[in-house]
Amino acid sequence: MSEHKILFTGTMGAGKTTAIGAVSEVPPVSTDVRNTDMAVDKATTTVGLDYGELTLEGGEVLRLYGTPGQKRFDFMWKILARGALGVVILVDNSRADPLADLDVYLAGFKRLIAEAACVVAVGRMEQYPDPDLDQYAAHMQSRGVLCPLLPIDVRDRAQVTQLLDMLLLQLEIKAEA
Amino acid sequence: MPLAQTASASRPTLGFTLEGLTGREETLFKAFIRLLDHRTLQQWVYRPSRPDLRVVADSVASDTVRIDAIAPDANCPLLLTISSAPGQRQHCVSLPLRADELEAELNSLGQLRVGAGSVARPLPPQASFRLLRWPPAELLGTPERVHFATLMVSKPFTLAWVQERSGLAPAACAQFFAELHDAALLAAVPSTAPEAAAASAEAPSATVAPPASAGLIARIRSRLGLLVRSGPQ
Repeated sequence: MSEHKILFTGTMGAGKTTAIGAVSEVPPVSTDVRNTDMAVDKATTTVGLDYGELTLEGGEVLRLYGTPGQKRFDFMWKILARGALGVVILVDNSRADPLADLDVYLAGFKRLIAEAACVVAVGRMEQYPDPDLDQYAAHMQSRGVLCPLLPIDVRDRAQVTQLLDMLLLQLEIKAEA
Repeated sequence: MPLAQTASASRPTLGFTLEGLTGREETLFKAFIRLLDHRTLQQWVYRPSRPDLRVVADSVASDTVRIDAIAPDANCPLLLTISSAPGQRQHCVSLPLRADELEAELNSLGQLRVGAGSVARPLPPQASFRLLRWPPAELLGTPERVHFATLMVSKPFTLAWVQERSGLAPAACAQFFAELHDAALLAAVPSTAPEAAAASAEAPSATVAPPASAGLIARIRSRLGLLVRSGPQ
């Protein structure tokens, strides 16, 4: 039976686990451990990966993977990116330098972004409005990346679904080319 | 009510914004704009971001004139005053509004704007462009425009293709296209380039999935509860 996958990546605390849980038909499987990074206010963090899935008509499975956020696990990003349909990059605007955070994932998933599809979603913009989306767009342009960019509340299923819709639309256009 | 589409392909589109008017006056003014759409030389649309014309109440006009006198800006929008005391200013219409008076002012101001070369002419539907960066929030505004912009990120496109692919009204597409062009977010692509660009794209690596089939995308959409889009098959 065919299997397909979409990745969710981003910094620790950006909401990958929550985003996957918002659309997965099974509770997300996470390999969380107690967080020892005092810079991030959360009790546990994902050191392996998150996993959720959707069963499609005909029995195919769409797998949703959340990558470990820390750059020291970037060897896993390449493994997960192999054969992926696309990647959703979640950025946490409350962090010290979210544009630098974004750079890490734009570089880490460069090939997948260029050849498949990508959406960048920025969380916690209401409480932390800077940098704004226009600054993100300019930053991405300076890095040679053009993809949809929008604010996100990962707790909202409709918003997470919209991210996937934008990813699918890009795939659709590429498939027609 | 949809904008008249008969003339939209041949007339420049200009945007206006409303300031200092009551809700009733705003509604009335927009109704007049729709009423006059088949008569004005330009197509006027309500566009709070990057307007070509500010339609302002008397009180706002007074402040604006004072500010403009200090720091005039050649790129700033033109001004049309809605006044209860007619004849006090240049480019002024009085209340109650009269269609003939408003039409004359809109045409006069429209010609000024177009003549100054600050307005993008309607873009040829078959000209190819590429999007330079994701548009700012003030240009997106609606889910339809976000969808429209998403269509543009993957490859060079023409207005005709985006109109067909998005399913939006031609006038709405042309308007958004013109706004992107005005904001310098579109770059022209030589007419033979879209196919060439696609052909010369880096060969896909073995590490990336082959292009997803339309069937797979439709099944994922269906599972997510999204409308299955009707693109060319």
